[in-house]
Parts: sequence; C-alpha cells; structure tokens
Amino acid sequence: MVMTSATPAAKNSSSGSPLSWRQRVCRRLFEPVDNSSLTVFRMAFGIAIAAYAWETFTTPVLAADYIQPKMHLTYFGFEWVRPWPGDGMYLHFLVLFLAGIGTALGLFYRLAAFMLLVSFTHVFLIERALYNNHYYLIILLAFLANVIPLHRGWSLDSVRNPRRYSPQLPQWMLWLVRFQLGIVYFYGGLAKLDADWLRGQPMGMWLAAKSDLPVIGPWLANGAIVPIFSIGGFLIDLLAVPLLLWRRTRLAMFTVLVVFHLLNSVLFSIGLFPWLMIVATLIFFPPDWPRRLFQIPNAFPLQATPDLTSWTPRRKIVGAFLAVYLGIQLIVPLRLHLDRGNASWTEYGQLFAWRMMLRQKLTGVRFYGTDPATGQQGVIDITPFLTQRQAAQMSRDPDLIVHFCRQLADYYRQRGVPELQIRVKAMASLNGRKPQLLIDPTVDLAQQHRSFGPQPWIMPLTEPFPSEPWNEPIDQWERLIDIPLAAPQSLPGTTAEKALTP
Amino acid sequence: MIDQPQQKLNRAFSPWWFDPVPIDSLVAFRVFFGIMAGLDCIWFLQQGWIATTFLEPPMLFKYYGFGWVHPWPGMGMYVHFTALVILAACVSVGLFYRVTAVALAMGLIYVFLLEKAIYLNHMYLICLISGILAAISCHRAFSLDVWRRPAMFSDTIPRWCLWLVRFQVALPYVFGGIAKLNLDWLSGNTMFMFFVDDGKYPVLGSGMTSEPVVLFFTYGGLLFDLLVVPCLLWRKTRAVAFVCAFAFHLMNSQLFQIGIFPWLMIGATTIFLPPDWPRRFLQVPVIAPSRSSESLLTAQKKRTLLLAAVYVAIQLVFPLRQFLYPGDPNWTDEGQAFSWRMMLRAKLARVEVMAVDSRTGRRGPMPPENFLNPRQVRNLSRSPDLMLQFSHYLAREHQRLGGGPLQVYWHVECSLNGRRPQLLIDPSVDLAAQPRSLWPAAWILPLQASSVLADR
Repeated sequence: MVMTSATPAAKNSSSGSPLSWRQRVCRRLFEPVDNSSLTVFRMAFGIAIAAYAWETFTTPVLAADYIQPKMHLTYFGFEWVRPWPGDGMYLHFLVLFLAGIGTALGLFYRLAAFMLLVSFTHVFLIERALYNNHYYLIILLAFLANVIPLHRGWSLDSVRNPRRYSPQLPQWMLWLVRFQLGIVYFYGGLAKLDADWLRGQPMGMWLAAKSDLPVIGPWLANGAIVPIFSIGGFLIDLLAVPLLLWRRTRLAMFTVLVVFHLLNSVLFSIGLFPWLMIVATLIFFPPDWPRRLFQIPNAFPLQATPDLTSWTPRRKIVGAFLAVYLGIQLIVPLRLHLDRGNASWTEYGQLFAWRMMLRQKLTGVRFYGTDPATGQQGVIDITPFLTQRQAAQMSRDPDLIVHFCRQLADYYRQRGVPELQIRVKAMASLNGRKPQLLIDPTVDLAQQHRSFGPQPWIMPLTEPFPSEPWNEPIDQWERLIDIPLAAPQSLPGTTAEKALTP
Repeated sequence: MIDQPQQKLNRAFSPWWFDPVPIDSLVAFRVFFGIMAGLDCIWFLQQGWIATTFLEPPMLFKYYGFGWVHPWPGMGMYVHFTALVILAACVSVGLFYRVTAVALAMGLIYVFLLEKAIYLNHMYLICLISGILAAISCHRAFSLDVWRRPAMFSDTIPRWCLWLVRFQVALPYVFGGIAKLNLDWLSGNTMFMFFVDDGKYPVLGSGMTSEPVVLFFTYGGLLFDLLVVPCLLWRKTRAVAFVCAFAFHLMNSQLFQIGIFPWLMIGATTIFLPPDWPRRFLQVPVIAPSRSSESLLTAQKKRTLLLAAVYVAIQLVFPLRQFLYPGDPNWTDEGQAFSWRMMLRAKLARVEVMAVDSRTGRRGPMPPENFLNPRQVRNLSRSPDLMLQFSHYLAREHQRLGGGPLQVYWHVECSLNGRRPQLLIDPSVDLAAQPRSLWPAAWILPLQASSVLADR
C-alpha cells in the first residue's frame, strides 16, 4: 500500500469513534499525497507524445499513413472521422507536438492536455489499420491527464503564478493512474491464458525469426527457450501489479520490467512505447520518490482538509466517476469472453482488450466481383485502394473485410455498377496452423453490415494446433491446399486498376 | 603591503567575478549536456557511421597542424565511442566528475580532429563546451560525487563560471549574425537557394520560395542571431526570445539534417535564465544573493581570471581571421571553419581532376568518387584545402605504387549562391606541388564580383 506520511487529519479522525466503511473509503480516496511522482509521469508522458509527433511530422510516415491513402479503414461507428484535407495533417501533428511540450512543461496545461487528447484521438480514429494497444493506452492516459490537475506541482504554470502551486493531490488521482497501468499488465497477463500462447506460439516463430541477432540470436533459435519466454511473459504481466505494490518486491519487479521492456524494444521494434512504459511504471513507487531520490526539499507540508471522512457532493461526484470509469475499464476487455470462438481468429473483442502479442496471422485474400446485370465476373485488384499496411491489417479481420467490401461496392456504384456482388476467398493461418478459410466464400459481402453482433459468415476455426508450424509461402497455399470452391473465371473489364486511373 | 593599482584591480575584479551565484542552472546544463552528448554518440554507433566515416575511406582529411591524429586500429573506434557514451553518462550524473569530464572533452576533441571533411560548427561547439565543463566545478550539487562525499556539496559557484558558459553559448549566435552581414545574405539570395534546393515543404508548400517568405526568413534569421542573446538576458523580452529560439531551432531541425544540435541548443538556451531557475521551478526556497566572502584577489584567483580572459580573447579573435583573408570565405573556404559561418552558402561544383605522371608523361582523369565516400566528395567539391590534401594523397599513392612524381590539375566549375559557375582553382597549377599553409592560397581564383545578383 502507499506509504504516505500520516496526515494530522487522518490521525484525528481515527482517534474518535470508529469509522464506517464509507468514511474509511472517503478518507482513503481524498487523503493528500505528494504529487511529485505524478508530475514526473506528466513530464515523461508529454515528452513521449512530443517525440512521437515530431518523429511522424518529419518523416514520410505522415504522408504515407494519413495523406496518400485513398481510403481509410475506420472504427465501427466512427466512419465520420476523416483526415484534414491538403497539408492539414502536418499542422495537426504540429499542434500535437506543441500540446506534448506544453503538457511536459506544465505550460498552459489545461489547454495543452485538452489539445493533446483531442488531436491524438483524432489521429487514432482516422485509420483502424494502425490500431495499437499502446495508442489506446495513450488516449486513456491523456483523458486522465485532463481529469487530474497534473500541473499543480512543478510546472511553468506554477512558476507563472506561484499561488497555484501545491505539493499534493488527493490520493484517488494517484491510484487512478496506477489502476490504468495495472489494467494493462493484468489483462495483458490474463489474455495470455490462451491455449496457443501456452503451447509456445506465436512466440516460437517470432524468436526463430530473430536468430540472426548478435549475441542473443543463437539462444533464440533454440526451441527450449520458447517456454521460458511465453510462461515468463505470462507471469510477468500477471504478477507485475501485485509485486510492484508490495514494498519488498517492488525494486526487483521494476528491474524485471525494465529488462522485459528493453527486450521487447530490441526484439519487436515497437518504437517509443517500451520507454514510456518504463517511466510510467515508476508510478508504483511511493508518491514522493522523485523528492527522495533527488533530495528536493518540500517547503510546503501536506495539508489535509479537516473533514476527510465526509462525503461532500463534490466527493460524491468523484466517487461516481471513479465507479463508472473503473467499471468500464474492467468490463470492456472482458467482452471477448462472450462465447464467439477464438478471439484471435474472429477478432471479436480483439481491440481495446490488451490482447498483446497473441497471434501471428498470415492471410491471403482475393476479391471476386460479380455484376448481376451483365453476368460479368472478375477478380478485383485491391492495390489501388489500400496501402500494403492497410491491406495486411484488413485481410486478417472479418469486420474490416466487410467494411472494405462495402466501400468497394460504393465505389463501383458511382461508376455504373449498381449491384456489384463481392465474394472473398480469404485464407488465414493462425499461429502456425495450416491455412483455412476465414470467410464463407459464398456470401455476398456487399450486402452484409458491420455489427457488434455475431456474423454467421465467419468460418469457425477448425484447423488443429500443429506440432510444427506451417511454413509455406503464401503464393503456394492454393497449390498445396485443396479448397472445394468453384473458381470464378476471370473476365476482362472488371479489374479496378483501369477504373481507378484518374 | 599592497600597492595602489593592485587594490584597484582587486576592487574591479575579485568581488564581482568571484561572487557566489546559484549553481543550479549550470548543474541542469551539465545533466542535459551529458545526456545529449551520450545520445549523439549512440546515434553515431547505431547508424554504422564509424565504419563509413573513419575506417573505410582510404584517406582522411586533416586539420592544419593535426596531421598526426589517426583513428584507433581494429575495433578501437567502437571502443572509443562506447567509452564516450559511458563518460557522458558519468558527466551527466556527476560521477568521478573531475576525471570523466576531462576524458569526455579529450575524447570528443579527438573524434572531431580525425576528419576535416565532416567539420560542423556544432561539433566544434560541443567540443568547446565539453572543455569548459571540464574546467568548472558544476558537479558540486546534484551529483553522485556529492552523494559519495557530502563535504563537496556547494549550492553556489563563482560567477565567472556561469558567464564563461553563457559567453560560449552566445558566441555562435553573435558571430553567426555578423557573418550574415554580406550582400548574398541581405539580398535574400542565400535563403532562396536553400529553399529551392530542398524542394517541397509541407504546410507552406511552394510558398517557401516566394519573395516575402524568403525575405522574412532572411531578415528574421539575421535579427534573431544578433538579438537573441540580449533578449534572453533581459527579463521583459525573455519569454518572447525563448519562443523564437524554440521555433528557430525546430525549423532548423526540419529544414537541415543536423541531428541533435537543435535540441542541444534549445536546452542550452536555459543558461541565459536566472541561475536559480531550477530552484524556482521545483519551488525550493531561493538562495539570497551574497558577496564573495573574501575580497582579496589571491594569486590563484588571478591565474583563473587570466586563463579565462585568454580563452575569451582567443574565442573572440580567432573567428575574425576571416576578415584577414582576401576574398569571400564562402568562396575560398579560408577562415570558414571555427568562425561560426553557418548556413551561408549553397555551393555547387563540377570537379574534374587530371593527373600527369611527369616521368612517363602518361595522363588520365582521377575522379574523386573513385577514392572517397560521398560525403567526402561533397565537401571536397566546396573546399580548396581538401582538394589540395587529395592531390597530395594521389601523388603519395602513385609514388608508393612505383610511379614517378605526379602532377595534379583541377578543373572546378563552381556556383556560389546561385551565381553563374566560374573556375574556383587555377587550372594551370599543379596542386600536388603546392604546400599546405595558413597563408592565402595564390592558386584559388578570385570570385568575379560581376554576377552577385545574377539570374537565380
């Protein structure tokens, strides 16, 4: 538990009549704690966002992801979120950069934190193919940065107006951030209670692919090391929070996590995220660790309001907010346990659920268009519509496949094919299984809708987990696997390339 | 017994220069500088530049008088850079500072001296700053040395230390501004060439090459360089100057690929803030200003002041040598280095090298790109001194392989800041026979003044 210096108010109230549990909860939530660890968190968070924005702003990534694609794959319900026209996205990332700097310095903090949340969420919602659990976490943290006045401590706002400075924040703010990070570790661990993961895939394939790394490479190629990684990863995720909270194991667990994140950084280049997580994890240390480590004296002792145990209306609102927020965060990731088959296969509940590193899904998709009016049939070339990254992401997710098919149908409707039927032959190999059909090839996807409900045209996963991972190049799949499917003849005139040339 | 003039001297110097000022801003500077120097070395290692810059080229270009500096053999350069990373980390956290700061400065200067073809003003500045940090005691607070030996702690530092660092950081701005006071810059020609060179810019797009934009950046850059230091020191203009400096360096980072330098300069700008700014930021009670405890100018203090004064004088005078050379340093490259002449030239050249064996009379072209890496070739085409060194290298190699004395002739058509190309080197002079010297080279043809504002 948190080691706060016991406040006078807390002592007073405990010396009186015994407190009800409601009063104890109230005191626990609104007790003041040193805010320096939250301030350090704010700085690291702001710097990470600024670095991300600047990196994107100055490299061709920005144009490739947000300006050049002709079509965006969006989140269900957020199809209306569009990128800015022209060079607007450059300005957008510049705003995000400045918001990150402002957040880090605590300069015009309210405005900076709000702009950070809005502009980052906008970028996030534009393109679902770029979904990443880290980005989702950043949005949640940015939201919390708007709820919590993280600029009350060391900040330029406090320098500008010293009366605004305060060395403390109520305890619930600290625990809210801890909870948010704890959720990531804990659900990340729960998700690894997955049959494939515990049997060593996809970790085994990934490690084998990294066998050319210097020094550690030969070790990774050895199959015996795979269980260490997969069981170890599971245990680290699951035990991170309790062991970080217990004083005796805290430093050891933190060291393990630093190594864990650095190893992730080396093995699976995932950019800034490991570094952010390392600094963010420091939030589990006693809240005054920066003061103690850097020996920064505090001229202002912590002050508690006198009635720490009474639920004022304001506190009731805070309590309600916490209950709702915690509830949502706890329940949303659990939706994948609605009985709809393997989430790695169907992708139901895959997003916003901290399912990290759980699947290696190789896919090959072909789109067949049929114009019922003329009887014309043909294969639709998707390369003019999607970037490689979008295509790769789309082809493994049934929801995105149907989303794309509907956009394709719209496209042809505007070009004089009112009722184009689109069927797909989508083959997928999950975690080293033999490839099988992902989508029912007889269903016209142009007539299907995106939905949170079950989609009957998703084929169940029937291939068994293999002892040796299937390892054939995708262009050989059709030759090696016999799929009883009437191959539509390719007819000229329906390839998209011709239609799309401007 | 102290005589009269001596007392005057004491009053003039000792109290003020040795008054204690808060050490905080210098400590923050130390921490930040260590991190940035370390990151720069890591970046250099990661990019694989050690091999391409120091190990693979058959020849390295030397600074005059430093021909004896060579790369370590074998894996030595990798060890050297790894050591630099560790030393920079030690400086940052203030561990064994006296030793590590000196070692870091020497290690950085060594790398700097290895190859003239990668000269960059910011590398020079980093070397100078690391030297100054090694000379002052900014490890006496917030350091592992103090943690090991608490008696060492001090929350103040003599004022001259602070002002020496401020002087060093200010120098590139001021001299950079002075160097812009020439017709090429003031006419907007130079800036126009930079923007044209790099093609499309996001946000501003083609507007970057329009007359008002070019003139805005031209005169904005000039005013910024000349005014930023006084404006940062004056409280009323400080916030504006800081925002301008931030924007200026971000622009630089975006327009020109100069690595960590813009970020280093943004951080270094904090040295112009009141020296107790970290204390104010962290809401720790500030130290009341005090006078020096002893007002006497001791022999040791005199030595310190003298050394600092000599250093300052050298730093002020050395860049001025650019005015002693005849001709425009942008053209002749004489007095160009170590003078904070930044972003002043777009220099394009077509280079042909003809070599003649004076024993057999055989002749043939010697394209530099057959010998040098692309970066060396690019810098060679701008710098007569590098051409001279390359000529000597060719002659030396030819003789080593059993050939006779080699004559090397250069045909260099060079365009400076959008001028029509003209010859840079006297094509009738055998450069292999010319000695290196600091005197003006007679074989560099003067820049014809006619076409200063020629058609762009």
